[in-house]
Amino acid sequence: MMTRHRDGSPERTRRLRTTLLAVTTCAATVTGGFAVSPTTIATASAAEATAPRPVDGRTEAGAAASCWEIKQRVPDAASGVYWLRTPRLVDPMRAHCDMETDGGGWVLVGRGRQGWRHEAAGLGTSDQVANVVTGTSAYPVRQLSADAIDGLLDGGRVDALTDGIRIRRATNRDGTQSQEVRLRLARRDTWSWTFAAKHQLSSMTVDGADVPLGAGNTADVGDDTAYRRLNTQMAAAQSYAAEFAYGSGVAGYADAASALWSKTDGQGAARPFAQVWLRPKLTTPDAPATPPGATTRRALPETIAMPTTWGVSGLASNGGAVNEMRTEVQAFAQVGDLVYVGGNFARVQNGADGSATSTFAQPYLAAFDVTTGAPVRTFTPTFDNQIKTLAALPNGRIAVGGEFGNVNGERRPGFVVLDASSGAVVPTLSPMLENRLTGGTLSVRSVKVRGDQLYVGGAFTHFTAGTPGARPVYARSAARMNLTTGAIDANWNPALNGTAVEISPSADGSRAYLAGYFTKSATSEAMKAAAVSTAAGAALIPWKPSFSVAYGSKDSFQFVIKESDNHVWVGGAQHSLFRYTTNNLGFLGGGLSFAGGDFQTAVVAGDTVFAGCHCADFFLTGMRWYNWNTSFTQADSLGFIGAWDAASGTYQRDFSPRLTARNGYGAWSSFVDSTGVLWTGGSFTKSFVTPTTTQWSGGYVRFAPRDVTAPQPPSRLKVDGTMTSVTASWTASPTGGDTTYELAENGRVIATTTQTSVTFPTPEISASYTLTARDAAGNRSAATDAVQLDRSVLTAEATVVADNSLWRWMYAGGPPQGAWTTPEPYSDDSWFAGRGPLGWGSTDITTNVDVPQITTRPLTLYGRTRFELPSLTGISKLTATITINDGAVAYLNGTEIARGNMPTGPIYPTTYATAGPRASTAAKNRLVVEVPVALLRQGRNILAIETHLNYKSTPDLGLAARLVATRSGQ
Amino acid sequence: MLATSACGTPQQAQSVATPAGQPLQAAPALAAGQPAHPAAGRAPGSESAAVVDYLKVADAIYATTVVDEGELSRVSAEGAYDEVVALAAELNKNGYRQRGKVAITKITLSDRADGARIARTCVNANPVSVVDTTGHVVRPVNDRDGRGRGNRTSLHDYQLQRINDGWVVVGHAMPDDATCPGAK
Repeated sequence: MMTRHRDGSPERTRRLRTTLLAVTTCAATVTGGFAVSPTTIATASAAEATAPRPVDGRTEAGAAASCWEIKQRVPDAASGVYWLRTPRLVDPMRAHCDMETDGGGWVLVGRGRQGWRHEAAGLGTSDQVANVVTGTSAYPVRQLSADAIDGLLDGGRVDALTDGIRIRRATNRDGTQSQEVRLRLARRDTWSWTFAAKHQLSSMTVDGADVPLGAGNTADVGDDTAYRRLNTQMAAAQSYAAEFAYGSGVAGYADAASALWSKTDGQGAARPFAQVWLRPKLTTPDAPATPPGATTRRALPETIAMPTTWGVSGLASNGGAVNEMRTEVQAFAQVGDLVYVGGNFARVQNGADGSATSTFAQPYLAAFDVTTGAPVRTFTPTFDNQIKTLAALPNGRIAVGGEFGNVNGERRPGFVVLDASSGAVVPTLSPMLENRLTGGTLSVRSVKVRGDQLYVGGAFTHFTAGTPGARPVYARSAARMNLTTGAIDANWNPALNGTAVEISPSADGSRAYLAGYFTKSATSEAMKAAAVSTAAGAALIPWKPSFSVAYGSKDSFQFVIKESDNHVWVGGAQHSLFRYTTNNLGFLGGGLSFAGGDFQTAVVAGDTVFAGCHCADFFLTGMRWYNWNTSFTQADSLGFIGAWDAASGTYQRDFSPRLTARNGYGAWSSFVDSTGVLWTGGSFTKSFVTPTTTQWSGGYVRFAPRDVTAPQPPSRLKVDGTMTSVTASWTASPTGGDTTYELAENGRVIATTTQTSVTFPTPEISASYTLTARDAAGNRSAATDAVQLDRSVLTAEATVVADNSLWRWMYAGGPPQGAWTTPEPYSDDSWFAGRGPLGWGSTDITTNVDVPQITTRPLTLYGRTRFELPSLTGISKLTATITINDGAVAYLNGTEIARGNMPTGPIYPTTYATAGPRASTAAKNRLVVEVPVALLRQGRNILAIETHLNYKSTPDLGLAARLVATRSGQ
Repeated sequence: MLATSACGTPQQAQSVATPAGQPLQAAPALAAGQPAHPAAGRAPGSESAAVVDYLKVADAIYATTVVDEGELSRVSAEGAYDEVVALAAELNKNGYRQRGKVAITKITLSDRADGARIARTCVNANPVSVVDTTGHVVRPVNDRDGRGRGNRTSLHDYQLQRINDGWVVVGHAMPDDATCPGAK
């Protein structure tokens, strides 16, 4: 947990006392001698430093915990992009900070005009949010993910933000004026973009003036119908574009440049360009943190759909009314490598157009390859009405239930067992069903296998086994059949007084859970959901389930009942998905879809419960009653199908697909195949394959499991450098792929890279480094062993003479008078001055020293440059790098230190260089020499060079040098 | 008119037949000032009439899926009441309605070992069909197996309970062999 600065003081103890390496490089002044260079090399005394480096947000390594922290540390910090990092965020992130409004310190979490998303994934990248914040180019909505925002809050509660949520809204068409809206939420733990879900407010202001909340909430609040109103609800009149809208009294315009948008010009309830800001007041503690280590994402499907290969289309039983009970896809099951899809579809289709060559009639039931999704055209059983349920049976068979009467031309009302390869009926396992009630229809709604029993639920009264001579058995709404003998168990009849929509035997086999329209099991109350012993007699287990409407209401029928470990999940009318303990069937909680619809399918896969509904808005965790008060504890986007943690019941906001369903009928079936792919079926027609692009979907949509495997860790981390910079290098993770490496310093990530090395400023104190590898999905490897960086062994390099240093030069034919290679008392005041390199004939020359006539060129160019060394302490090495073009002799304080392309022996002004390299060649072959440190003097030093021509008409000449002093660390 | 027998002695069945398909007659309406429970005040011995009334009210509800709770509670309680409500809700959810009415061909009254009064009733549901909101037939007449085949004349065991001075249907079950005597 991020600890906060004890007193909030902007001043830190990191005002380090520094000791100069005592190097000032040659200054820019042409006259008046050397000035102190603006480039100084400072090394820190570790004595007073308590953290490795300053926190100012200007670099990744210096990322701050919040914009607010930056503002406190650097009071004159301007608005702009800064690096932020919190323990929860782990990696530094670039974010835009508003450093001006109301004291500054605000971080931008989203901006745009119309079309805000409710999904936790947000929209776009964090860089897009950070980099483009105003103007028409900022009108396309970009929102940080809820994870990123929770990271910026370091897990802090949203309702604990003392400054609330700040929304800056444009108030005029050209966007030159705006207003400030502040919202404080009454109950909100983590971030959610679901403003339209009616979050309860504790306060609201517009430009600092309170707005009475009345019955308002984040969906719609305000005390007028104009600028003092905030409406975040989607509206058909505005093409379902959300949100942060004004009241009906504020007109918007349809043009791209308008900061107030409406679908048509002049239409009210304008959607303004808006920015959403937060001001978490987090600071970075000096104390080392726990470095990131191995983490993997929770197993879930990807929130975008797999590319559609094949699908189904059309309605096979299309006479009469169109309603949600007759959707294209209503059941899945897998036998071997084939997934069977059942429902009310007419055709199998490839692609949105459904060309003749890729579409064929195969109504009600079809088989698809589990891996490729391609249909199996040899599986062609025939049905005459819709299929409601499927179950894979042993021995390559499949149980089929529904509303059909004939299968493969035979009388098989409501239920049949088929050979999953040939599609042929298995007579001995295909009992005859009857519904002898005076009203209603015959249907089988649910079939499940437990051991050697097949449990069947639906609307029926009698089963007659498929074996010869079998007698009918009264089994009302639920029955079970021995899968070996085909016998119907006459001693197990829950005798429900209404249809069982789902039957689910428990994992331990002791119970069968039932959900549906019933209210009694025999003479005992069994209100819409029941747990029945699987022992003979089907004794009812006492249970009084909870509903979102009044107990016993006719509008409380349940469609879904599933067991997951220690929980029983029940879903149905109205809009509810509730959990119970398995041991005593006590109510645990759950929530409702809003505005949504009833839950009508669920599947348990590992530690996840998937449930679907005709709902494309929100799931309100903690919502208990179907009255849309604001008692919920969390609201997340729910796009027809969602995921919940099977153990805790927590809604998994990471899985929030965007789907389009015919008439909004939504999900009526769900299934996870042997490869971990989630299939959800219903009336789906489109799905998103990227956050912004859709594809055709034929009745069902598939979602691949997301990557939850951590990359292997990198190895051989080494950290080494100088007093000014450190380079960390390592051996790449064997996993390869799209891997980002995270280098942590004293537990905090200071650098991220896809390379296998990174260089960063040397820390001010000795520090510990670890490295982790993070894949594109967000899984993180274990950290490498920590590597210590000991400042005492670091070296500092100082460039005392640079290639562009200021030189005094003479190019006049004769030799300089006196000891021109030495410091004082020699004076070069009469020489010309110019920055290196000196010479002519190449593009890198800064100061051209050539004469007008080649014939009058002197053979030798003389140059002097000076540098100051206030102290020689610790200087252990001196390296000179000298340009030799054409030939040169260099001197330090009067002593020759290097000679190139020059003859041995005395050198005169008329001595020719022994070679005439071109400038490009000379640049690649500079002379590097180690210079005795003893030649240095405390105070002023002189580097002198004489450069000689190889021939007078040489096309180029160069005089330049670099001198680097190395100082051992302390 | 459906004639009913007098109260039988325990374990002694009494049967009254009515011509198949003959319209059912409702039990007498309650007079003003009678006890609050809708079923109260019915003359003792009208068990068969209670079954007739129950099926008539159920048919009416299934035809509209609108539950007249007062009328339904006049003729039923407990599981029998809920059964009609549940099916009405399901029909409504599916967009279905019932057409036609059932007929009673025979009622045999008996007392079960646990003391429950049972009216084993042969009900002819062949005239009943189920249609959706457009009139499309989803269950035709004469349908027992979902395909319009089979005699839908079946035995039903309605459990009766005397509440105050009247009989109401409180439960509903069927025998394993639900074939009415003489029917296919």
